[in-house]
This record gives sequence, C-alpha cells and structure tokens, in this order.
Amino acid sequence: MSFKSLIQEMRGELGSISRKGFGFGRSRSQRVVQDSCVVPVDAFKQSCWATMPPELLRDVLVRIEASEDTWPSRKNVVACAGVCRNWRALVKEIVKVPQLSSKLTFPISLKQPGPRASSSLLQCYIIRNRTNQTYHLYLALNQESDTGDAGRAWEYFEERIRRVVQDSCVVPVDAFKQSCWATMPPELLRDVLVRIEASEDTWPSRKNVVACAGVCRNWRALVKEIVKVPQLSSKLTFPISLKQPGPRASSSLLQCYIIRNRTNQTYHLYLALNQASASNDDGKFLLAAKRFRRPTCTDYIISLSSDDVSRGSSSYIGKLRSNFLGTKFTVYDAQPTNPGAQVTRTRSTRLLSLKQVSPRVPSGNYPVSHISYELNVLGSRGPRRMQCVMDAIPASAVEPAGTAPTQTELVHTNLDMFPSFSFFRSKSVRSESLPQPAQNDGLLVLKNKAPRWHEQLQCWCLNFNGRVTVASVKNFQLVAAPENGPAGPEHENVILQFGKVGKDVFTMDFQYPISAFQAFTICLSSFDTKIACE
Amino acid sequence: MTKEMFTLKSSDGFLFVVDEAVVHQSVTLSPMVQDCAGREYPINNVTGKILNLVVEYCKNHVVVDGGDSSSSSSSGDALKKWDDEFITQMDLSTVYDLIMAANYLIIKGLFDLACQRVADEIAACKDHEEIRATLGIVSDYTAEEEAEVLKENEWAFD
Repeated sequence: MSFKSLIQEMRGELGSISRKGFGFGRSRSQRVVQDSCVVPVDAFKQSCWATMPPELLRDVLVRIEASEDTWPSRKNVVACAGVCRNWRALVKEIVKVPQLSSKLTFPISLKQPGPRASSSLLQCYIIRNRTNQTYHLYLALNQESDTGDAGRAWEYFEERIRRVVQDSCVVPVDAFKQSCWATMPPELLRDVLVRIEASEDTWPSRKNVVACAGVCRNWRALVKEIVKVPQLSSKLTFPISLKQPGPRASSSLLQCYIIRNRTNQTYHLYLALNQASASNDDGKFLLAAKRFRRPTCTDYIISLSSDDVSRGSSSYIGKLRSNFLGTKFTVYDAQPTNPGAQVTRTRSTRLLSLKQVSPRVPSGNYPVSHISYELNVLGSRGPRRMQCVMDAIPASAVEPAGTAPTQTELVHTNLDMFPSFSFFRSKSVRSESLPQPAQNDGLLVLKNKAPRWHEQLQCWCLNFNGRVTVASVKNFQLVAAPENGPAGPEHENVILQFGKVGKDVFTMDFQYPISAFQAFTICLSSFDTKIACE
Repeated sequence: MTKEMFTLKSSDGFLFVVDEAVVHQSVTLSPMVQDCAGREYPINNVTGKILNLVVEYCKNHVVVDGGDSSSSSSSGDALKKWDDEFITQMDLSTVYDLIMAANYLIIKGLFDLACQRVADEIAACKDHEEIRATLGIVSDYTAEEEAEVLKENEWAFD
C-alpha cells in the first residue's frame, strides 16, 4: 500500500475529528463516524492515530512533507496540519519557513521573507484582468508557468488589492496618488469637509456627512469637530445626536412626529423636514419603539433600527418601563450619562472621546428619568398632572448660564459584559414600586403646563401654536418647574410639547435641555398611562 | 505702457512667463513684484504640470477682474462656466495637487474651486465605502469599529 494511500485512509478515517479544525463541543462519538467512501474500521483502533506518540507520528509526517514538496501536491501537507492539534503542531515544526526551504506552504508563508540563498529568487507571475480590475498572483511551478498559467492561485492577494481598486464606473487612477487623500493635511481636508457639512444640511442629504465620518479615523475626527451638537446647530446628524440636548435658542423647538401602529404595537419617531411632514410622512426616521406587556409592568423597547426593535438588538438604545397601574414610568438608557461630559470648548475634552469609534462600556440599564401621572385636584374632571424628574439633568441647566450633560459617542453594547459596579444597575422589577430618588434635589423637574378653562368652548385649552390639531387627553406641554423660590422667565419656556394631529399621527416638539430620546420616551408614557379625564 | 513680466520656475524646471496681474492673484507671490522682475522665481513644491494649470486659471481670471463693470454679470457667468469646465475635466489626483498648490500660493478662488470639486465628488458617493473607493482610502478601523460605522450609516440611510 503506497504511503499516499495510507495517509489518505488515515485522513479519511480521522476526517470527522475536526472538520473545522478546532471546533468546540464535538462529541467523542461523532468523532469516529465514518466517511461513506472509507472502509469501516474498528472504532477503538481509529482513535489511536490521534494519540500516536509524537516522535512516531513525526516520522510519518516528515515523509509527507518531503514527498509532497511542490504544488499541487503540497496541499497534502496543509491538509495534515488541519487534522487536529497534535498534527498541526508537528507539521508546523517540520515545515521550514520560506527563507530556509524556498517553499511556500501555508498562507502565512506569504507574509514571511523569501528564500535567502544567493541565487534563489522565488519565481512568481501576475495576471491582470482589465475588465474587472483584478490582479492575480501565482507561484510559478516551472519555466513556462506564466504562459501556461499552471501556478497556484493565492486568493488573499486578490482581496487586498480589491480594496484599493476602483469601481467599474470610476475612471482608474494612479493607486499611489489616490491614497494621498487619506493623509491630506488636516487643515486642508477640513476645508473640503466643511463645505460638505454646510451644503448637506438637511436630510436626506445629511447622510453624506455621516458617510464622511465613516471613511477612516482622520476623517471621522475632523467631521466630529466640524459638526456641532444639536444644542448649537439645531440639526440632528449622527445617532448620538438623539441623546444630546435639543436646540437652545428660545424660539427653536425641533419639530418631529410620531406614527403609531396599533397592529404591531410600534411607534416610529421621525424628524419633520417641512411643515407638512407629519401628514405626508416624509420625515427622517429617528427611533422606533415597541410595546411589550408583561404580567406586572409594560416595557417599551427603543431602537435605532426601524425594523429590529428588541432588547437583544445591537441597535437597542434604552427602554421605558411602566408600573402595573400605568401611573409611574422609568426611562432607562442603555449607556450611562457621564455627568462630567459637559459640552465645553476645550480641545482636550472633545478629542478624548474621538479616539475610538465606540468605547466599550458594560451594557446595562441606567435610569435617566422618572415620570409620574396623577389625577388633578378636581379628580378626573380636570386634566391630569404630569411630572418628569430628569435624573441626569441638573435643575440649573435651564438657567442662562447652566449646562446639561451631553453624551459624545454611542457605546458598543456588548451584552456579554455585565456591569462591574452596581451603582446604576436597575433591579429586574417584579413589584409595582420602581426605584426612585429619595428627593429631587438639584434635579430638573418638568411639569405639564396647566391648560386654561375656556368658558365659551367649555374645554381645557393649551396653545400649541398650530402644532396640535386634535383634542386628546394625551396632549401636553412640559415646562421646567422652579426648584425653589419664584418662577423665572426660564420656567415659561415650553421644553416639550406633544399632541395629536391625526388618527395615529402625533407631533413632538422639543428643545434643550432634553434630548430626542428622552422626549420620545416621555411621549410614549402619555400613550400608556391609564390616568384619564373626562 | 509695457507690462512687467515675471518668470516662474516649477520644481521640475519648467518656466512660465507671466505678467504682473497674474502674479498678484497669489498672495504668496505678490511681494515678489517688487523684487523679482526679470529674474526666475522658483516655486519648489509645484510641478510644471500643475503650475501650468494654476497659470491658466489666473490668466483667465485677470481678464474678467480687470474688465468693464457694465458687462460684469454676463462675463461673470462666462467665467463661472469656464471655471466649471476647467475643474471638471481634471482627474482627482490632479485636483489634489491643485489644492496643495493653491494653498501654498494662496489663491483663494482656485482653492475654493478645487475643494468644492472634491466636496461635490464626495457628496455624490452613495456611502462611505464608495468614498473610500473613489479616493483610494483604506479603512483603518478594527472589525468592531467597522461594524459600528456600518450601523451608524444604516441609521442615516434608513
């Protein structure tokens, strides 16, 4: 029996030991299952090849390495290295690096220095394909290899070159000079990116700004410097913009709208692009929420993805949880609000967060606000009373010199990691009472503006400035409640207003110091609460 | 009145003879008007190919800038049309060199024109992958970061 066929048989018998090389969890019984084309052998004797004493196995493998010394048969050496760990270790010992052997065996050989002896250049050849702009590198097996194209193709080269090769619709350009765009002096690249940021200032073309931030690290850092936070620009650009406070100028509420879908219990939030956006539904998608009823509470899961709205999704942003009665709600953020990350002008604080695309932080649920609904003093004959305690925003934020915390990057939510500290961890709640801060000391509290009773119309009225057109108990306007002492002018500003304009269409307008995410969750609570009024 | 002529020498030895009005368009070169008439002025980081384009731009802009104000709106349109054609027929690596040259020589109009060409090119790309392919930029993100970028872009394109 030739050596080759003996090896074939051994390989065939051991074929099932690890098809993937080093897969976990394969049961031992599975390991001795036969290939259909191999003569069945005694199962006990089979496993001995896997546990053969190394010095003896080495003798076998050395013969293979020596006999299969040129391609295509050199693939047998590679095959032996793939059988199991013992075999791999031995083959890797036996096979010498190209520098010493003048042979290419494994893919890693392509990353190792070539033959060192003075007259032995390793001969290869390249075939260019102009139609699809690819280049293939081959090892020459003999003198006529390049004309006969009988060499060994290495797929890896093709992959790397493809990355810098043009789309078929773009005129091919000098590859070296092209990469100059990646290393362009930042002050000049900035000039280019600033123009893009200025011209693509509304959706949908604002996506081009996001695309620029995705090109490479240099570009991302510059784009993030150029794009101002919503508080200053009144624009939403990146997903993180949804977690940052809205516009601060006194008359600039950011106009959005919500579409409710009763069949699948979902709510989609959109940025209005013009006055008629809500009716035409031509806005920019921002967030989606889905309602999950549980025995003792209801959860609204919030996601960046319009169709993947689940707790386990990588687009999960946070959730709203209500108590059983629907009178108290807690908003949870999937990432912590860092009270230290205020919006400042210093370069160092800004650049700190730009080092990575997404810093790793333990995923969890960090309570960021508590919402409660109560009956009016007039009982159900008056509008209900709403109160939102914003755990993450100080009451001073609404004062002229105040600031609100601003998240700067969306974290990569790794659901395998558990928070190592329990400071912000919320317990899985099975009872009605949700964790609440003992006092609202220093925290911003939003209360709903009291409607006026209109004697002639015989109804409660709030001035929504035309943004709400259908009377509904869900409609509300929230203002900042004074911490203590008299109300100042800053407590007159409507920070969030929400109201019905159609059967399943609602407008949501908000501004600093709350973010789009917080505004959305507060509005969702209005859908759910059971406190009604006549 | 005879015009003063100046000789500009590119980094690879090409000579361009231009008049004062052309030189004045470059903030960097303007001061040399006093010193260098008749002598070659070397421009060490601009090649002949690019300097040729710079000079062409400046020559064209002299004609209109010094022109009669009553015809300025139509000549303004004609100039804009010329600018558009001028910059659009260039390939991107030439545009890059032109940005560098216009930056060094401080020729604002040319700098703006070239930057805008690139900005337009980028804005026309459908996503960040296409921007990379067009400009030949290789991503330096880790696989994880790339996934985050993809997610961010999915949201933007939703």
